[in-house]
Order: sequence, then C-alpha cells, then structure tokens
Amino acid sequence: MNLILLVSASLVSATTLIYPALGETFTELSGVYNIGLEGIMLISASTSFVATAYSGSVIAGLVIGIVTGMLAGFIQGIFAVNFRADQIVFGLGIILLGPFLSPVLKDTFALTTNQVPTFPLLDATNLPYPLSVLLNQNALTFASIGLVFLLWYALFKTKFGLAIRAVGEDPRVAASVGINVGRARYLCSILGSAIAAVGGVFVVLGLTGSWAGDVTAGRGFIAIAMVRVGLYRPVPILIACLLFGFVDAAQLTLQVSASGFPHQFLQMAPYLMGIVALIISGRFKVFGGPASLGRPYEKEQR
Amino acid sequence: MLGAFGIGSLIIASIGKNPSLALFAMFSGALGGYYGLGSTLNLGAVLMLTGLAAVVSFSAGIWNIGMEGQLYVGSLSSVIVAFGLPGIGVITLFLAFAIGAITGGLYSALAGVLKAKFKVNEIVSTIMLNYVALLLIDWVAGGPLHKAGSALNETPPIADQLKLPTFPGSTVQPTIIIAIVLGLAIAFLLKRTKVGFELRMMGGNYRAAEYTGVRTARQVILAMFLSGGLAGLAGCFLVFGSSYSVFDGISRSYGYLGIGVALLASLNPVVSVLSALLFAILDVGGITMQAVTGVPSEIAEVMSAIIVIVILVRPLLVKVISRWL
Repeated sequence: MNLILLVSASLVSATTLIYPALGETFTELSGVYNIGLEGIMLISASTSFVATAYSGSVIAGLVIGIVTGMLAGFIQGIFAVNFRADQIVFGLGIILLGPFLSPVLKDTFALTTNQVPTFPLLDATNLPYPLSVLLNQNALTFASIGLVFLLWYALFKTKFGLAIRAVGEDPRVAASVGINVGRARYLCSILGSAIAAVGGVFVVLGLTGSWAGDVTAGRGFIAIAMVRVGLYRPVPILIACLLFGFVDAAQLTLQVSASGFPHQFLQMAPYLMGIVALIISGRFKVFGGPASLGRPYEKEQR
Repeated sequence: MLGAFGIGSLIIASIGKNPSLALFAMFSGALGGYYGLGSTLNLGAVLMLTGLAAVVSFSAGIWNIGMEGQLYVGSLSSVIVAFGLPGIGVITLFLAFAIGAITGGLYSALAGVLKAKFKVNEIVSTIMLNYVALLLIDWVAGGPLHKAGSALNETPPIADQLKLPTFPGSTVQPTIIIAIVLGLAIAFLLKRTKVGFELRMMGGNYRAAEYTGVRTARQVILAMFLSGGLAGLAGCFLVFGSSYSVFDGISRSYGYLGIGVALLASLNPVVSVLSALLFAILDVGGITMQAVTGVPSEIAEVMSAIIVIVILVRPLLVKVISRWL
C-alpha cells in the first residue's frame, strides 16, 4: 500500500466533509440548527448533476449547486426567523425531501445520462515526487482548505464574526447593541447552506462523476459529528475531517487489497467513526455549541 | 395536505403530464380493486408501526429517525427464526415477531444508551446506525444466508406455511389488526400511565422532568427500546407479508415515512393510524401512477416530504387566517 497515494485519497474524502462541516458551523454559530444538511447536499448534488449533464460545464454545475443551496438556506431562514418553526422538525422535512426529490430531479431532467464530466485535476507532474501525487487534486479541494482559514478569520477575528456569534449566544443582548438578529440568521442560513451545497457538488463533480442514487451516503450527518468534535472552530474541524478522510481512504484501499474480508464491514467504518466522534465530543465537552442554538428569537419577548 | 397535493400537481404538470389524470390514477390504484386495497391496507399496517415508533420517541422529545435500520434488524432476526424453526407454524410466527421486535428495540436502545450516557445526538447516531444495519443486511444476505444461485444479495424465501394468511375474499392480512391494537395500546401508554406521563413530560421540558425526579436516562433508553421494537415489528410484517425474504430494499423508506406519519398526526397515536393509511395510499398509488401515466413514483414520496414541511407552516396559516376573520 502506498502511503502517499493514501494521503492523497484522504484529502479527496476529507473535502466531501469540510464543506458541509464549515457550512454547518456558519449556520449553527448564529443559533440556527441545520440538521437537514444531508438533504441540502443531496438536492444540490442532483441539481448540479443535471446542470452539468445539460451544459457539459462543471462551472455551471457548481453555480447551480450553490444557488440551490442558497435557496434551501433562504427557505430555512423563512422557517427559522419568520415562522419561528421547530428547527429540528424543519430539518427532518429536508432530510426526508433529499432522497425523494433528488431522483425525481435527476430522472426528470437528465434521464438518458448517468455520467458527467468532473473537475480537472491539477497537473503536478513537474513537481518533485510526493508533491506530484499529493497536489494532484481538483480546485475544490484546494479551495476547501482556503475556506477553512477564511472562515476562521471571518468568524473569530472580525467584528462581523463577533456579531454572528453574539446572535447565536444571546440574541436579545445582540439586538440591544443594534445587531439585526433576523438578518444575521438569514445570512448565516443562506451562506452556510451554500457552502454545504458545495460539498454535495464535489461528491458528483469531483468524486464520482456519475449518479447512483444516495450519492452523499450520510456524509452530511458525519459532517455534523465533525462540527461537534471540532468544537465549532474551523481549524480543529479541518483536522477532524482530515483524520476522518484518512480512515475512509484506508477502508476504501483495504476493500481492494483485502478481497477475502467482507467489504461491508469495512464500509461500516465511516459511520462507526461518526458515532465515536460524537462520543468523544460528548465526553470531553469544552464548548457545547451556541447557547441559543435551535431557539427561535421572539422579538416581542422581554 | 392540499398544499402537498397542489405542489405535487405542479411538479407533475412541469414535466408535461396531466396532473388530474395522474392523481386519479394514484387514488384508483390505491383504493380500487382487489389488490390495490389489499396492498394499501397491508402497507398501512407497516407505516402505522413505523409511525407509532416515531410517536413514542418524539413524544419524549427524542428524535429517533433510525426506524429504517431498526426495521431491517427486526426483519433479519425474524427471518433467522423462520429458518431455524420452520416446522411449528403459528408458534414460529409468534416467536419470529417477538424476536424481531426485541432485536429492533435493542438496536434502537443502543442509540438510547449513547444519548443517555454519552450525550450523543440521537439524530446523527440513529442515521449512522441505519447505514450500519443496511450494510449488515447486505453482508448476511450475500454471505452466511445467501440464496444459492442468486446473483443478488438476498436470503432464500421463508417456508410457505409461514407466509401471513389473508382474510377470506381479500388480500388483506391480519397485520392491520395488530397495528391498530398497538396504536390504541400506545395511546393508553402515553396518556394514561405513569411511564407515558413521564415520557411526555420529558418531551415538554427535559430539565424540568429531571428536577421533578424522572429518571431521564432510564426513560430515554426505554422510549428508544419501545420505538425500535415497533419498527422491528414493522420489518417482520414486511418479511412475512410481502417480501418473504430479506435483502437491502424490502423497505422503500418506510422507516423514514414513519416520521411523516407521526408529524402529520401531531404525535397522536390514534390519528397516526389514519395518517399511515394516507401515506400508504400515496406509496401504493404512486406505483400505479407510474405504470399508467409515466409520472415517476417518487413524486408521491416528494408529496410525503412536502406534507411534513406544510405541517410546519400550519400554525402560521392558522394565525394569518384568524387575523383575516
């Protein structure tokens, strides 16, 4: 087994988690619970698949996927802010909608094809050996790492980030210093869902290049576990996602090399890892999430 | 409700089919005819159980969405009983159902223990366990219990005498009676017993329940066990009533649809019986709709999901309408 190839594959697997985990962090820090992450990823994956199948352009797929995510985030904002709905129940609706709506979208608008072009990989053959394999990734993988640091800066080093976290901790105090709570939550829902949607786009346009039903396969939920274990901080979340990506890549490699062992047990590894991550974060809880997570903000309450 | 049908019609119209024709095909397929009505009622029984599973846990404020996995675990253990004791007819059937329900309950209780002892979010853990259960089924049906000669990962069929009987002159199975009785039993449990009161109290305010002396950890595990047991029994209904063997695919998301059943019924166990029938009509009728009009059957499931979302808007609609009046 080639370790460098394995690390390269872990980066690919980690990318599918980094986007939804960052999106979830963004949304949850403002106090909106986005348990429907998986559904948003899956629906965006299907719309981006359809867009790419029609246009032949991965950029079109990416744009449509992001727009789908923003739309989902906007609807989530309406429910969370204006309707003051139970955010878990809304999330359940999105979780249900994802696996049912995505095949309808795919079969209705791109019935004849199951293959789409994928994002081109960076040609790193001129670089010295380990780098030539490690950096042989597509643009979305590089962008995900950049986004981690961008979000860390935006959320933890700027006034804008402070405002958002204030809204998530105590919306009434935030409102008293002149922050528009509703607008902040709308913004975080829309941007967070858009970022999460890129994860769904990456699964079809960066990883599989084909449509096979439940393409995201629970990655949205694993991403939620990564957010918890990464304590809502972008850099620890990145590390958690990379570790997870490594385990996922290792089980995929083992499926090929250890052919006698039932592959189903290897495939269970990511899901069991997700549970283990939650056990760890539950055991050593330093920061359990924003204080007002999941609570609608009632303006008239005093 | 009407909103869901409206949006469903819009989707049907948008792909160039006649919505009224499609909806007519859906309802006539589900309710008309010997087979249609039978399949609707039999599926209704399955959805009643997954719906009740959701009612029990949601009432306690526990978001068990692992009914799908618990259903498969129940189906697997019941089919093992059926293979192990093929000869003794009704007794085997009872044993298989009991073991199916218990194993489904234990699988679900695992997530309950994780929540109670390790503060693991049950939405994520039950979904993870769904994937694990499906992989387990795929392994068993392709390995230890593989049907000889089959290209698919499926178990051999159960013995003919173990297949569920039907009421004379129909294709309706007695499962519907069991499901309705269980619906009433759950209603009694939640509304009239101390355990049920404590569960609902936890659903209302977890902290307050804890302070008044409810042993929350134990009740969380109990609620998850009951919930998973109902889902496991739903798996038995599927194995002995329609698929007659076990493979990944005996449930067309019936575990997930249980969430919709429970939410549409506002977590009322008795109303769940009715809302399960509605979802069964959508599912069975969806297949007829696809066959007759070529509209993809997933549209029916999209409507189910939209129903859940429409339910959320309902309080708002009531507010808006009452302001107008």
